[in-house]
Amino acid sequence: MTERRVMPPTVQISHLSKTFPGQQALDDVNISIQPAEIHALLGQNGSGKSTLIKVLAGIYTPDPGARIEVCGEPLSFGSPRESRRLGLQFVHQALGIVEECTAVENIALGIGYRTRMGFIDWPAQRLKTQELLTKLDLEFDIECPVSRLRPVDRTAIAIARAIDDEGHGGRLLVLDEPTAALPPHEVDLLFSLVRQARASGTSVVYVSHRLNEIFELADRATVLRDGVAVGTVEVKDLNHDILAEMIVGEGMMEADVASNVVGEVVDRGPALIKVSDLRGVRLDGVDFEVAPGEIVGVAGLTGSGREELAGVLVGERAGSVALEMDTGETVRDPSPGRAKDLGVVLVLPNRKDGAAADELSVLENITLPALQRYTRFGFTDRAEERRDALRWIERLDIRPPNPDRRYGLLSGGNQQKVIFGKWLNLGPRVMVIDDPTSGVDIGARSAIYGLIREYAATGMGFIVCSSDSDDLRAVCDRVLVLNEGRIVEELPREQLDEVRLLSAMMGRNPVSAVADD
Amino acid sequence: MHEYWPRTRRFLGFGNIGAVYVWLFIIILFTLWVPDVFPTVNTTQAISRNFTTAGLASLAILLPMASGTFDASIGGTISLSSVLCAWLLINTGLPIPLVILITIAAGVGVGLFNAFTVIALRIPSLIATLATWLIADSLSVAVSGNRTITSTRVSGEFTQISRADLWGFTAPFFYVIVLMVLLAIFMSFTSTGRMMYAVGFNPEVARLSGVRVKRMQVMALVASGAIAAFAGVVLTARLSSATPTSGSPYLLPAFAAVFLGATQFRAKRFNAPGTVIAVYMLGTGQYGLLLAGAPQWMPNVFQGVALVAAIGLTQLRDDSAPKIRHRKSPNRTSPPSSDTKAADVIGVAAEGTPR
Repeated sequence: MTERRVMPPTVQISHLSKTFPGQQALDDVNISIQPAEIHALLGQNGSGKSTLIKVLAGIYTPDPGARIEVCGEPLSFGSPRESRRLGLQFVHQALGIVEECTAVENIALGIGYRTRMGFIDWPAQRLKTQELLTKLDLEFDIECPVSRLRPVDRTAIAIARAIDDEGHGGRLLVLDEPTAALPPHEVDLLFSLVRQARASGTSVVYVSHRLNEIFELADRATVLRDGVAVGTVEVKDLNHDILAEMIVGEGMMEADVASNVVGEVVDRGPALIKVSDLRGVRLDGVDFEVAPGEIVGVAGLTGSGREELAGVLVGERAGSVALEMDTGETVRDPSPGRAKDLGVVLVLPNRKDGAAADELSVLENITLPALQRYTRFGFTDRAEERRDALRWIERLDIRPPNPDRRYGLLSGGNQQKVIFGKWLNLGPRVMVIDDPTSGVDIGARSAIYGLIREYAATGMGFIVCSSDSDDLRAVCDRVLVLNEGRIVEELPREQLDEVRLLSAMMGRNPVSAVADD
Repeated sequence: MHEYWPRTRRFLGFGNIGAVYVWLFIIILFTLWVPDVFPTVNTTQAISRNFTTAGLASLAILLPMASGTFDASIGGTISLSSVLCAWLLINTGLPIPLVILITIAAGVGVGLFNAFTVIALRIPSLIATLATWLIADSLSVAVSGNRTITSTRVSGEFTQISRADLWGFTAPFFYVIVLMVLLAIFMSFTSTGRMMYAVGFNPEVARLSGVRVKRMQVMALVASGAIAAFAGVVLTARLSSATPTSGSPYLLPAFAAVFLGATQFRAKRFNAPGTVIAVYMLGTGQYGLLLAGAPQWMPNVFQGVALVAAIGLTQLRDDSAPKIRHRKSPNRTSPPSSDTKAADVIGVAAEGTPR
């Protein structure tokens, strides 16, 4: 239709479906990516973005019938090497660079070493590195370990390596949330890198949750929702709200209102826990309170500080915080053990290291934090342990209902239930939950929501940190929205619609205002 | 009665106590091979006697292994304590029980030093304890003046520690059995034992559950030092003399036995009975080979092959074979729970360099 489509598209994706057991991750997706365009890929968590990228990268094999052409040449699926040969390059969130090595070494790792008579030709290698970085308008010490560089320089190394691969030299560069790990002031630098890449003829697929970035950077955008490509649009034709609604889906707003009617304003009395001066790598002084029986949500994009709030609160990760309980007990910077003694526990997502031990049995995992309670003269009261474990297994419907089964053998949903069981078994006062439903199927998800509501009714306080707005809307009485390490907005239950939440998290800023007119 | 049968059958299954069957096989093999000398009371007693130091050494490293640290220093600790105990008997008039106590205290000291290097200085345990081994082993040379030392006191009443016997089995065999039972009870039935396992499998889970991770590891290393020192005392008593660096050969067989032992029993974790079964299974094979006139180097080959075979087989059977460190699964995200191949590749793509 427009002039530039005379050339064949860089990547033409047709009829791409991918089914996982019990889930259709991608459903007949068709996308064409034009030469030298920045193409944004948008969608909520679980919408199929990462599955799509992994198919491109040769990690997943799609369902039969799919076809992907790279500059007219068909891509054979399931082979990272093949994807690479055709010039598809990926910069993942974990950049894939070796922190202890220099820029020269890292770039050599990606594009291969120049050798002379079997030995590495270091001068040539340095020259090549310098050349690449100059191309991207970058200047830093290429001989110092990458760990000492700025975050954006590390991303730059990954990009440099990707676009100057030998052979088909970067026909398509896929950037998966490249700004998530960057401090705000380095984002502009990244943008200019991406534009450089485009100027050199490379197409870019840009994945981000931050809409203002899309408006600033992208030419076109494809929105995925529940595995379906709901549309590809020219970004300049859009504004912030239209795009947000495309991502969330129309009609969602009505559904939300209906589910929100239950929220009654109740006077909950004095705070159960006061959290003050919460600081971490990104968190920059956050204060809030939780009343007995209240479920407080914490929302925010990756990089907003949301991902570290739960951990810092109970001493899982580095940071500082002051906790004050309604009993008058106060603690600064608790250790996990101290937090546990206060009655504040952290429920981690099952796939995170530290959530539970794969090699221990379900029973041993459930009773581990409360082991003191089962101890008589140093020995554990196994009958009592078993009784409690069986009670939680029945109560949480953990399957198979075998307390001696190794935890590592359970499915994701059941693992998550065990993790809840082990902390509920302590009888905590405040439960801090980090991403309660990531990697959990629909059934277990609603069971977990039910559980949270039920225990809230008994007076337990909840802090639910989640990147998934469904979690927050399903259970929270109010949601604190984080941006750049601070609480920027507090949404009561009545206002928890998806668009509103998303807009608050992404931060309305001048860019979207420009896009409005 | 019959409802116990499935449980009994599971207990007797090859996957549960495979080493016992291999052991039986070895016994039958040598009975057929050297029928005159192997299936005799003498052989049984000799095996029970000759592998006690190996048994004690293996039990020594069990707790560190269970709590996720290596203790490679036990060889040195055995050398040092063996020589130290002889030296004290020769050069002081201290009563025998006190000599033994002092020697064990020295082992505790070695354990504390290990704890200092591993936990306070955060040197990887294998490296740090290898360094300790080197130091302790050399100290045994220094204390003994680099020769075998003995005296009438060393070869006198003191040897009763190893000579006392019951039904032809000498005391050290019972030390091994008693220590095995104590460790088995400690590891399976006490909360400290459970916490040690938790620390070994996943220190982060343990820490978040309020377990004092470092304290557990210190305790394990100290216990290991004490048990190794006791092994040194018994070794001196058995030989009526002390030879410098005599403990070092026990290190690798001890690791072999502990790893092999961890393939035994359903829970697939480092455990005392499995370790002792492994020690005597390997010991029977080695001794049988010697009786059958196999060359000197053969027993070690047998030991190596047995270790690879036993652990290799369990690895093939399932992925629950023993691990010293919690292995971080690179990717366990949702859909592809049944798509492990893909998950493995993602791990590479997300964490390794794009290639």
